Amino acid sequence: MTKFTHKDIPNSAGVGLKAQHYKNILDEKPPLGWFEVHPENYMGAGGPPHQYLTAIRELYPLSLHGVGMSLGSPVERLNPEHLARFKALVERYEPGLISEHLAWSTHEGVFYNDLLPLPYTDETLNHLVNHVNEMQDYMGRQVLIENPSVYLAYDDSPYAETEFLRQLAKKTGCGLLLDVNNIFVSASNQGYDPYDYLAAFPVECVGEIHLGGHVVEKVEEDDKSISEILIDAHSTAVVDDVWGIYNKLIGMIGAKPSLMEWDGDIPEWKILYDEAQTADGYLAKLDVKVTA
Amino acid sequence: MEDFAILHQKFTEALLKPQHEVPEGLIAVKAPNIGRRFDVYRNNVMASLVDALKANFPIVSALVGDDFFSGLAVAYISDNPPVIPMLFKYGVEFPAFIAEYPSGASLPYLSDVARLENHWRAAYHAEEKQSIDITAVQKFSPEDQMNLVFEIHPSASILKSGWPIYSIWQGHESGDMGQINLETSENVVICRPQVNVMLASLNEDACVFFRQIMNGQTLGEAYGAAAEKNEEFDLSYSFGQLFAMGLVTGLSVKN
Repeated sequence: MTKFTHKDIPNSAGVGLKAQHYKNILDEKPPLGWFEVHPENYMGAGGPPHQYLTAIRELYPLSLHGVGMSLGSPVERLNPEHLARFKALVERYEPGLISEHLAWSTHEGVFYNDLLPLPYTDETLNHLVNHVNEMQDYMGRQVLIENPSVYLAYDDSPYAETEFLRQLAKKTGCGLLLDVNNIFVSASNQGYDPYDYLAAFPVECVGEIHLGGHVVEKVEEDDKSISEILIDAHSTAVVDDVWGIYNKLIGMIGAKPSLMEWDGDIPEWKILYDEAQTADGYLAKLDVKVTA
Repeated sequence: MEDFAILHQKFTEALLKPQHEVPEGLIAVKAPNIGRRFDVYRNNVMASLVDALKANFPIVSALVGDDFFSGLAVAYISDNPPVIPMLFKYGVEFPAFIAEYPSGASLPYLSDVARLENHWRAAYHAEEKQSIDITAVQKFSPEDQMNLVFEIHPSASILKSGWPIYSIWQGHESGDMGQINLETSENVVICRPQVNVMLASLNEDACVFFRQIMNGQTLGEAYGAAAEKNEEFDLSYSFGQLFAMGLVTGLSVKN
């Protein structure tokens, strides 16, 4: 399988591949730049997941976006079995990009299946640097690291997230995956301006953008006032505020691979495809502006 | 600040066990309800793992309904959280847990249905291998045929049950659970030769025959054992079924 090399993820919209859409994609072969999967769903020996992914990989470039490496764990070394499983998929599918998260999900052998928050300190930076280096050395290539959506921060966290990621990229040579919905969710939950975050972000390191939806929940605070929590559920369409951040970002850095993520309440294929078309629409307007 | 590892320890204790207090040192915006925000993480973890179990055990879930299943799943997750980041493998101990679950007694077959779903999923994700056709047997002389031993497909397994698990599976597939006689017991053979996982029910003598073949006994030995169980054992039917299910990937003669 050498049809696409790792240079081949285009600076256009891609879609997070869901099992519900395998047949639509193979039947319709829609014009679309690329697909992304969570490698953890393809770590079985065989079966329909591999059969479909192989067929789709013949038609489109692919990105592997890990959710289980737990780079933010306070351990000496990453899980060697998980590294080996991940690398086997890199060798099998020759993805154009591979990525992971600024988060942790495993502690003392238990996998929590969520991207849990870290304090941003010298100690945690040192761990992240070691773990990103270990993963990149093992894979033999660059990994992109994604900014998290957070609901709580740590009191003792001297680095701003943007500065933490800048240092991480500088010390490891990793790229960054900037999720613009996560910027919006975290900014709202933490009470800062998403455009300030964007202005401080090391955008020169961004190799991929994520777009997704969130849900809003009401919460009664300790003083009885009502406020909102934004939850990064990936179960709805992208909201206008997030498109706004996206448009600003691509205005700063130009077109980049832009992924539409939809992981819960998964809609019919056409709705997801139309969302990707919207992203391509923003990128097309950018081209016009650049040429003009 | 506290040691990084201690912080993760306190965070995870509070995640799965709501009686543990939210760890100190977490902040949000002004006048924050920290507990409610920590609950987002608790809910994300628990809801995603309940969903993972529901995806892995769709028949158990359909049999008991969403509310009962959620209670069962939450109890299981608290005692047996996943240990590897591959959720399609999660739930190996779920059948045993169901068997011990206090209010599960009204559905005594539920544990075996969960076992069947574990076998189904193992077959679904098993290694690929090409099955061979029954005509391959003709290459061997009649004397050699009784000494044949069989290479078995990596996805193949047998499940014995005291409950009508094949009928329950079939009822779920067809959407008609109406006619299942719970007084019967069924054994099932499971295999995925290509895309679809195939199931067939085996009566007691056929089950003995399949077991022997899958354990590496010769055709003659397997036939003998099955005929001992039932002297009217239908060899040609079971032999055909072995190949029709795609169980056989190679043949050789045992000297």
